[in-house]
Amino acid sequence: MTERRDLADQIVQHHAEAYRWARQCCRYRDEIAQDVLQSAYVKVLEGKARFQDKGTLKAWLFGVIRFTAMEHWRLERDHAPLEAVMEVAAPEDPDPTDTRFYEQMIRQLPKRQAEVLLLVFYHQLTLKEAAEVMQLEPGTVSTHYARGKEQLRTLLKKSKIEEEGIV
Amino acid sequence: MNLSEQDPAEEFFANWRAADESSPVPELEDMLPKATHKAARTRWRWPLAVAASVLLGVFLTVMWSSGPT
Repeated sequence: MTERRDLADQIVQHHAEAYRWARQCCRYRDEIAQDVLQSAYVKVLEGKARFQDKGTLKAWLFGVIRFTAMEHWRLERDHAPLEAVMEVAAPEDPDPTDTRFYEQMIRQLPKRQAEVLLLVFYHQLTLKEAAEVMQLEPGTVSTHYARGKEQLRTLLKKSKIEEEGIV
Repeated sequence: MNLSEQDPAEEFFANWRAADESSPVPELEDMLPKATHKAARTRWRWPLAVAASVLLGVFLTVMWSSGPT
């Protein structure tokens, strides 16, 4: 009982970040992100997912959320393929205060590259923690990280050129 | 090389985080009781099923042994 109380207390500290990570794992769809996050919390509270004191609690929780989102998409693919592949509409003019600009940009990267960049830069995890979340070897994660950074740089440059070209 | 220049990826994500700060996050209180309730419901499912089976077994045994013979 006390153990569950402690876990609930720790979840409180990471809730906002956990929700944003769930959204990023759920293609920025709020309702699905809420369902996935709630299911992840149930797993934690039921003890189906147990923190083994290896690494940080945040990385472990992010791993549970990522796994739960993957389970969701596996089921969704069988039942609603059209909806699942629907793209988020991009804003007409890139606007740094419009989050859709960033979402659209990151979706152009291969999935694993996008994940590692989000974990490292957005959620401020180390590469080792990102590897733990993604269940990959640290060396593989470093490769995705370097390639992702390079590809994002190219995309940003391209977007800047297009923007200046229009103006 | 300009040392004060920020890494484009770092800048991109810092701006994204800043833009996300204003977007709402569902209250944990709305989510956690539901999750706790769901967890409690699932936790009791197995013990309840076992208890029901045992009771049914006892009932059938009693009925059988106190039959017309």
